[in-house]
Amino acid sequence: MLDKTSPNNQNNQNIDIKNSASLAMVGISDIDEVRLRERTISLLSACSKISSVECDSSADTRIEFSLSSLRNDSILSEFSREDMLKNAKVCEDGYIKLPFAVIQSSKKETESEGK
Amino acid sequence: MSKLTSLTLTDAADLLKSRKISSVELTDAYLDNIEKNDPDISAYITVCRESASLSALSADNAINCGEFSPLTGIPYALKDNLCTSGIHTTCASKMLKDFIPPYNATVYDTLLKENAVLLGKTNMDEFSMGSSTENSFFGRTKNPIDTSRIPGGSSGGSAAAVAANEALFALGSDTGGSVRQPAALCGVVAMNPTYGAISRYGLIAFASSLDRVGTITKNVKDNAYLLSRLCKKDEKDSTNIGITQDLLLGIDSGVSNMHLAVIEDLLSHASEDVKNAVLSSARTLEKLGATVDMISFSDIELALSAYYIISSAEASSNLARYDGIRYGERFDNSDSLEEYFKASRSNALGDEVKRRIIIGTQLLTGEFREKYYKKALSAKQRIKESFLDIFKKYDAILSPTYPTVAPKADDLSSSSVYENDIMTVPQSVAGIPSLTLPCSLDKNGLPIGIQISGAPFSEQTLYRIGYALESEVYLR
Repeated sequence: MLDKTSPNNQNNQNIDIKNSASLAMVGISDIDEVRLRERTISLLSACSKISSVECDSSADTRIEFSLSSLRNDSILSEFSREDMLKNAKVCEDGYIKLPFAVIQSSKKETESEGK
Repeated sequence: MSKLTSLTLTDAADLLKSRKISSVELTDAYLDNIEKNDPDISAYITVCRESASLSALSADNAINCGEFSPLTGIPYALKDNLCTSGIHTTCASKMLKDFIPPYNATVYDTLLKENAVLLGKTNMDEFSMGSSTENSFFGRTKNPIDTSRIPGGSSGGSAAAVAANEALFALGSDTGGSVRQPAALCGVVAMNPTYGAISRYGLIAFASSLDRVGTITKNVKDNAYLLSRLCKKDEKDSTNIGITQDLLLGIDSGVSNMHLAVIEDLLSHASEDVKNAVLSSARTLEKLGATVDMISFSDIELALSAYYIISSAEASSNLARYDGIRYGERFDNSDSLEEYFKASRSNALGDEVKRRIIIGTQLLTGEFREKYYKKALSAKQRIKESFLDIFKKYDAILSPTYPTVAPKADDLSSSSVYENDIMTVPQSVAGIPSLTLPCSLDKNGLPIGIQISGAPFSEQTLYRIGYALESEVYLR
C-alpha cells in the first residue's frame, strides 16, 4: 500500500514529463509519457537514499583554478571558410542556408523591433 | 600475418624501432583482420583504410630517418566520440552521422605527433549512454569471444577491436564504467585514469564532471606504456592536471608489503563465478606478499543514485546544443523555431538519449533541483572523502568489474543494465583511477575482470599490482 503522504509520493505527483520534454525540446507520444513517468518514478525511488545526505555537512564541491590556467583566445588562421561550410547541411552562394523556421523567426523579431 | 597481430604493443614498438618489421606490414595485417572479422563483430563505424596505409608509410619513413617515438607506426582505434579533423565523428548518433570535426581532440593530436596509425573510429552506445553497445544508430557490436553476447559499453567497439586483434590498442571514454565494463567482458585490459590525468579536449561531452578518456590494451604493461604517453598538460582543458610520469617505472617490483582490501559489499552483487574469481585473485596477491583485508563500503547505493542524477542532469545540458541547425538532420517543414528544434531532436536522437535528456531536465526543474541534484553533488563529495579515508590505510582496493560474465544480448532488461553499473560507478563518482584486467575464465571460457582502484594519481601502484597478478594468471 502506498503511503500518499510520503515525500516520495509527493515528488511523484509533481513529476511533469510533458513539461520536461517541452523544456528539453523533445517531442513525445502519450505512450512515451507514461513509460517515462514510470521510469522517472522508479529512478527517484531508487535514489531515495540521496535525501538522507546533508548538503551543509559536505565540503564545497567547487573546483578553484586560477585565471592564468585559462588559455589565450587566439584566432586560428587554418580554420578556413571551406572548413566552416563543411558541416553545413545546405549551402547557397558560399553561405550556410538557414532553415525556413529560423528565417521566419528572425523576420518576426525584426518586425516587432520596428514597431 | 596473424603473428603480427598477436604482438603486444611494447614488442611491436621494439620490432619497429629495430626495423625488424615495418609499420606498413603491421598496419596491413590489422586492416586484413578488420576486413575478415569486422563484418561479424561490427567494432568499427569508420575504417580509415587509405589514410592508415599512408600514415604507416610516413611512420616507416620517420623510423628510417631515426625519428622514433614510443608509439610510432602502431595501429590503433579511437572511440567515435573523440574529434578527428577531416574524419567522421558520429557519437553513434543519427544527429552527428555526417559530422566532420574541424579540429582534433588533444589525445588524437598527441598520437598524430607520435606517428601512430589510426585504423578507424569504433562503435559505441549513442553519446555514450548505455553499457551494451546496442544503442548505436549504426547497429550493435558483438562480443568477439561469443557473438551472441554483448561486448559491454559504451566503449564496446574499442574493447571488441582490441580483443579481436583489429587494433593494437584503442582509446575509449569512461563516464560510469564505459571502458572498464567492455574490457572486462571482452577479456582485455583497461585503465580509467584519475579525473584530470588525460586531456578531455575534443571528447564530445556526455557528463562533463564524470567523463574521462580511458586506455584499452591487450595487457597491463602495454597499458602503462600507452598512458605514460597521454598524460601531459593541456591548456585547452581547464580540468587537466598535467602530471607526467613514467608509469612503467617499477611495474615489475611486485606487491610485497602492500596493503590491499576487497570491498565485501560489492562482492554480494556479483555472481558466484565472479565472486570466486576475485577472491582467488586476492589470495594470489597474498601469496605474492601483499596483505588483504575484507572491508565494507556502505556508500555504494548512494554512489549509484548520485551517478544517475548527475549524469542525466549534465547530459540534458550538454546535449542542448544539438538543435538541428548546427548539427544533424533537417526537418525543415516547421513554421516556428520551437517546432523545428523539437522535430529535429525527436527524429535524430535515439530513444535512450531522449529518455535521459528528459529525466535530466526534470531533475533540474523546480524543487527537484534542491531535492536531488544539489544533494547528489554533496553525495559525490562524501563518496570521494570515504574513498580517501580507505586509501589512508590501503594501497588499493579490489572488486569485480562487472557482476557477471558477458550476458546474452537478449537477456538484458533495462533495470539490469543500471544494476550492472554498480561495480564501476562509485570510482567514477569519486574521480579515482581504476584498472581492470582479466583474472579468470568461467566454464564456457568467458573472461571475468577484476578491478583495482586507488587514490588519485596512484596509476603507477595500480599497474604494479595488475602486472603482478597478470603474471600469475595470464589468460591470453
